[in-house]
Amino acid sequence: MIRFRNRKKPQKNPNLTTRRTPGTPEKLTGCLESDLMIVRSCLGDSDDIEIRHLHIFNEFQGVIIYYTTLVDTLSIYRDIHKPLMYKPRHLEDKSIHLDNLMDTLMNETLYISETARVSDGADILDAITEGSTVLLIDGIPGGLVLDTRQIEKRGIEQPQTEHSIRGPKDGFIEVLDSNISLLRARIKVGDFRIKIVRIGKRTKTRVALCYIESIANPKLLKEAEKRLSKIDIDGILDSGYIEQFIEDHPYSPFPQVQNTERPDKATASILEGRVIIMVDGSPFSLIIPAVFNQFYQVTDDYSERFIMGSLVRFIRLLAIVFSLIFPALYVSIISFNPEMIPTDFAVAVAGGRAGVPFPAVVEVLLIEVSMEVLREATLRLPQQIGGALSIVGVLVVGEAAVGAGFASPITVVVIALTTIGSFATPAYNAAISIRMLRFPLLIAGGMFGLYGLMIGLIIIMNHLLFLDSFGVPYMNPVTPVSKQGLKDSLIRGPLWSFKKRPSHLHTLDDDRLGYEGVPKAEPVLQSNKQGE
Amino acid sequence: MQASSHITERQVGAVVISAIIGVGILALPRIAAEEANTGAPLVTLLGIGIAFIGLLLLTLLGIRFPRESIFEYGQRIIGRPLAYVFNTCLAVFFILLTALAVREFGEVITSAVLRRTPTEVTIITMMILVVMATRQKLLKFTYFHVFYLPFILVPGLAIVLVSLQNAELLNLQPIIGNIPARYGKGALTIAALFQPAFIVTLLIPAMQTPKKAIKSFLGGIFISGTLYMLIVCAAVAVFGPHEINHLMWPTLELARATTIPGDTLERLDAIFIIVWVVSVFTSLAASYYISINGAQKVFGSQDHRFISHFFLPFVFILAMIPKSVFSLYVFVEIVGIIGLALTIGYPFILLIVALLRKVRGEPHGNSSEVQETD
Amino acid sequence: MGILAKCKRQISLMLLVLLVLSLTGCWDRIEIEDRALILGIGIDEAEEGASSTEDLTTHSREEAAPLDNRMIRLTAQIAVPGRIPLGPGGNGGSAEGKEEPVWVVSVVGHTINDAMNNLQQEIADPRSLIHLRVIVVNENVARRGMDDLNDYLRRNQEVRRSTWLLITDNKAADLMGVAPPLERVPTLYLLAMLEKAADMGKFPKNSLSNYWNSESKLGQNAYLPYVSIRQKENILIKGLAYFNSNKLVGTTTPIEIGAYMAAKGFNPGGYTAMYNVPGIGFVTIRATERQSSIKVDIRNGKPHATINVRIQAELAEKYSPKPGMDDQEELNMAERGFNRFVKEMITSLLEKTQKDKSDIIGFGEIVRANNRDYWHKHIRDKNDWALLYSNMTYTIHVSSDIRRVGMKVD
Repeated sequence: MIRFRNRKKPQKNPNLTTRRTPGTPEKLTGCLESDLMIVRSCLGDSDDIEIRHLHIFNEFQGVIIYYTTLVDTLSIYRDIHKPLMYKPRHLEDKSIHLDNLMDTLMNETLYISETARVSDGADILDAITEGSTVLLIDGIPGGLVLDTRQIEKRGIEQPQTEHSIRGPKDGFIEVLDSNISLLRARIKVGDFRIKIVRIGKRTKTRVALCYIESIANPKLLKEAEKRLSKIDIDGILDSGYIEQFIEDHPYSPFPQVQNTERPDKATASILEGRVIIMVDGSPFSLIIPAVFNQFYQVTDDYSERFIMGSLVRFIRLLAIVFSLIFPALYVSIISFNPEMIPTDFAVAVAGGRAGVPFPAVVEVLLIEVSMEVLREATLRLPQQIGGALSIVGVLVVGEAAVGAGFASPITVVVIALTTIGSFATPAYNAAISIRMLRFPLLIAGGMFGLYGLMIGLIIIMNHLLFLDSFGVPYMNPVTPVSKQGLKDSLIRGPLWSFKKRPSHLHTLDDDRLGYEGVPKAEPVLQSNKQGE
Repeated sequence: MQASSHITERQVGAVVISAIIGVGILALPRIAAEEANTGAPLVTLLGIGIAFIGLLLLTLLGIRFPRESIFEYGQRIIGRPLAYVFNTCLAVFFILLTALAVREFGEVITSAVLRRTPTEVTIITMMILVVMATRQKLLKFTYFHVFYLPFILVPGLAIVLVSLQNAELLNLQPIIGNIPARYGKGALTIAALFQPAFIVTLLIPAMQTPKKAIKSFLGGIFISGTLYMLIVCAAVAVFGPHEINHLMWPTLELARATTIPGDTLERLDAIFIIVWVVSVFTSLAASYYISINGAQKVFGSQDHRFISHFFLPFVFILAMIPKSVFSLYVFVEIVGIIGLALTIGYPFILLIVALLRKVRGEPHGNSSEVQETD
Repeated sequence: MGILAKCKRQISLMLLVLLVLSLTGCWDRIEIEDRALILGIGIDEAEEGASSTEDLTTHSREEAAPLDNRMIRLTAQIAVPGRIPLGPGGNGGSAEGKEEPVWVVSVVGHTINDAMNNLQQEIADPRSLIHLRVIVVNENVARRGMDDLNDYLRRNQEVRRSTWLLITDNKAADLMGVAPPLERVPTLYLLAMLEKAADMGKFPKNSLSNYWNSESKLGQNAYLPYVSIRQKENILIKGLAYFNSNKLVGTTTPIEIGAYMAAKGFNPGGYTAMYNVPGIGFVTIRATERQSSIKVDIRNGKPHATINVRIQAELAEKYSPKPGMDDQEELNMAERGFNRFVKEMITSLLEKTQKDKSDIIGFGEIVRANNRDYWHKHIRDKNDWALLYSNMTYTIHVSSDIRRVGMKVD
């Protein structure tokens, strides 16, 4: 087994939120002109910056600064300009001093719900770049940050990558706050916590840790925070960036962090005691820790009744195994151990392969690679063309390859089954790692037959057993065995049998159910009939 | 971060089973039947009994010294210089055992599946796999064994079940064997198959409650012994005591003689061999792990990984010494029986001396960590 | 970069391994279409003077001279890839007759492997016995002894233990050439026939494995199917060919297979007995289920066997219409007649095998299992028991039960 060492993360500035662009002053002086000079020098002369002078209550010199492209201009006009220019009626006969002007504005004048006083120049710049409006007043050091941010967002739609037959249809979008609201709407307890940190020197992306405080293991939380705080990068454009910085074994082919677009899945994970990491600008939230099991489970399993859920899950697992070993198995049997297949069939297979110029392993490799190319091409094309292409690819190319004596019909069948099998894996990242691992297996099988295949499988399994995700053994609950966990691994046990949360998460509160045993329904209808 | 760093008693049991069941399972029925014809099951039982006593001594010692392995408490019981000699012997013996087992494995692969591939290649690939696994920490190493356990037990049981259709009870009678039946040597050779279970001595210090080791050890011996018994019975019942003597690897032959009803797979031997690779791997890894640990103590080195690489060429050279399968089995027999003197005799001496001198280990504190071998 | 440096050793090791493997690997890869899949082989005695025409592939002429009188002719049936269409359906029918799906090659040699090597010298693809399903041996070769054949087959890892070994009174080569219209591949027809016969109770399941197992036991002798060709295209199961010390010593009639299966209690019952019941005339009774228990005890220092056979049967046919057969008494008469018939058949089988010193039932094994000391005192090798067997006494009890009479009453 190749052992991947933990990569040494470079030492970072521990003070994440107060990182500043070079050259900014510590404090604002209170002198409007010099303060403005400072702001101008930092923001430069972008055309979308608006610096508007105004007389507050006709008495004080003030200025509001914002980016026109980031704010809700209507709100600025209605909730800031208007109340600042016209002294509200209840204040008309009061005289306001410079000293308590800020408080009066915050508490009695402005119609903005989120306001804050800041004195730090850097904070003011941060606020502006994020879409807030900053109010500076002559004579008062520091300014008032008013939340007027408004950015374009799409509506909440069905998740594109994770379909479900039965279950909620909403999906995360790019805006962090909307995503959090989707979660908040589902978990209605006070100890559902959101911790937001900003990551990325230039993008200052908001990254939220979501968890239930009375469930999640504090050690896990601390570890997650620690790993996040060590990230020092220009920009975070997607949660995938975060994933690559916090995973345990970056050289492993297997994903150690799960991602989801589905709020219900995220909620379920939070309830299990996991931590969700959401990134502003990405509809994919990360679930930590992740074990191998999670990659073939889907929410439908839980929505359907447990027997069917188990069977479907079993089929999915079969598909994973298929997509991993089928080509290698085929090659090993055809080229090394043809004694295993029935004689009639062996003779027929030999007939099918009779004209093919390559050894089976080369043939399978060629077709596999072209299949991968086809898959990737279909993915990148616009949807309408993609559908057409896949049909053309599979039917026409496959048929022609056989007709041309380029491949044997059975090879095409094997490849088709393999490809379909790999599509049955719900998690795209896991599916792709398995899909890629089948190539080394295929080569091993082509070299040493079944023995090579087995050695390859042992290496993969050893690697899986060696992996950890945030300290949780990756093959949990199969190894180390956890009885409770096994109920929700290969099979999906009845919901009322999940008495405890997964033990490998070491949750603070591990009871899931309020009662013991099988819930029994009262025979309502029958008793009614007797009453009639 | 969170995972418990202790090894549970079930995990120890699993390691014992998967360490025991290894390369020997293929030749086992022949070893048993050669000496005692129809008394083969009885010989096997005797062998299991001998192995049981040896391992019991080892486990008792482990419980008495809950925080140390035999390489450490040996020093405390009989003094450094003497223990040094024994530790060296143990390390060398287990290297030899690994080498012979991997050679036997190579021979099987070469004669049954990969006929043209040089034995050297199969041996090297297997040893690389073993080295890669033994570089892990003890806990992860335990996981390997636990995970592969079903892949070790199920094929064995399946072969037994499928071959029941061809079994003849007459072949197992008389139970004590037709005259001449010699039990001694066969039983010792079979007991020698249990030697990789010596790894319990390394596992006990990592357990939370080493007292429970006795339970896991009993369970481990019971399950692996039962499987051995079943396989011997099945092979003798199917082939008869005389035909077995013509078969190099009767268990493999069992797989060859059976087909799955319904004409899906016609020959099971390739499949069986392939799955058997897993049990070879775990058992090899166990004995190699013991020798690495012993060598670590002998050299006073902390670099577990270095030693595991360092020994690879030695194992390979030792494995290539026997000229053919015939001389290989002579070696296996000799080394196995000499080894028994070491793996049973040494713990026996230690236990006696420890009892006489009233040496005890420190009690096992909860705070103790898994032995850091990395 | 530190990471890379740390992994460098591992990476270079991996690369080295990969390099070594890719430079030297694939020793065993032979594509299925590149193998000469031998489906069946037939072994005959070589014609006179074959040693002078033999291709010398494994030996010089002088070296093998002592074996010259034991030469064999080996006929192999090799599947020709491409001639056998993939998938079901008879669209390959047009090829029938013109293009044979198999290729029959015939060579001579001193031993099997010698002959095989001669064969390899003639064909391009490496021969492969992995799908060898049927081996047919000519009677004369079998009478000479099968030891050399057995050694080759046991040693060769490619040969499966479930292969059928047949003895024929025709030339084995002819069986390799039989091409019945039902099956695409001739050998597979032979195979299907044997397997179906075994399923129907026409013949005990007896593959190479069983043959070897019985042959290596001291207290039992082996038997094999005895087949013959009828009407050029059909294959008949003619009886049992029984052995002593790997030498064919005799054959039986087909009905004696039934007697053998009855004595051993093999199921399902597939044989039908036709016999004369006094007062009723000829009836045929089909055995459906058999049970037997065999005990051997030592009387006056000699083994004595007691065979108890219970047969369940059904009335299949009544020859003469005159006397009716409509009550239990008549059925009992038929049963008694059946008992007598079975007993006679078993007795004749036993007498035959006793004469030839071939204990195919395995009485010796029962003695070995139950009389450890007696066995130790008298038996040293296989011939000891064969001698004892030829003088063994026995009693046979047959009881039968006709359960079904069909849909006719008269």
